[in-house]
Amino acid sequence: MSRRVDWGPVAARVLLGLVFAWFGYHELWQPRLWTGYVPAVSSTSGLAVWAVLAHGFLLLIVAAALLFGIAPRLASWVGVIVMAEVVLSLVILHGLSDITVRDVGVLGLALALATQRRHPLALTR
Amino acid sequence: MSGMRVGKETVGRTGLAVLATVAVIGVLLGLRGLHAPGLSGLQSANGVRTPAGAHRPTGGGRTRPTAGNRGGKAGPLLSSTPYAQYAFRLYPGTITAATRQALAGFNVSVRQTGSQVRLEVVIRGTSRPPIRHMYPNTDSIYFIEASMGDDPGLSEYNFGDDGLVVTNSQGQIVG
Repeated sequence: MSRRVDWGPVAARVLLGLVFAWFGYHELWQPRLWTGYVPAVSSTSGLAVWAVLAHGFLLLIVAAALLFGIAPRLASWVGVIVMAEVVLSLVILHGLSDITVRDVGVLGLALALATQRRHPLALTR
Repeated sequence: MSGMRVGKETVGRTGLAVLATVAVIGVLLGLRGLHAPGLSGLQSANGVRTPAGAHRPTGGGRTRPTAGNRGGKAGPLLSSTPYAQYAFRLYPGTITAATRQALAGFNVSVRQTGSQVRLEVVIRGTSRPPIRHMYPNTDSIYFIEASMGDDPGLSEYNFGDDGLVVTNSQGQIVG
């Protein structure tokens, strides 16, 4: 007997996970290249580097949770918060731009996954 | 053991092991990143101004000699560093369309005066003073833009991935 898997949410979850993994990896690997995004802190400060490292670490964990389907709704909600913070800080500091609008799309994807009732192929063991 | 409940979801042993493994990888990456050099040359764009002509640390921890105060050994070949792929030449030669795109957020002028080249970098949309340097005209000057993804239109969101690199006639980094 075969069970049909709803691939849409799985693909969305994996792709969002890949986005977070890419940014998380790069923020951890070269944090000083990202300090310009830290609001209200000088980009040359050690605090900015630590902020990027913490952000990158969070992204990596959320990415793993999404890719493997570990508590995917919770991971998606964390993703929503992360993306909302990114979009808000970009809009406040720089106004609307193609980058901001693109991030709104990622925020929408995270929100859609967070409100999804069923997450096929989730790792519950 | 059935696993840990997180809201309406369950995280089992396997899930916890995966997350723990990724956390360890993240810590190791972060430890490496903590000591990874950044780009120099335009850090003053973010508020820490270095007087023109002063020694400054570069990405590899070397000093930034300018004409008149060049000292010490030349660094590695730019082509051997990971930044080579992000280097856009400002001098010598004309500034290409790709370089102009990389310079989003900056106004750059390069002028040759005798045996020296005068570089001036102005950060658009700020009242910060321009960054000025003098180099021997045998040097090559490159603008580093590690990611174009932070340059919407003619703006620059993140100055952390922008920098200046100067090489001698052999292509070795001197500042």
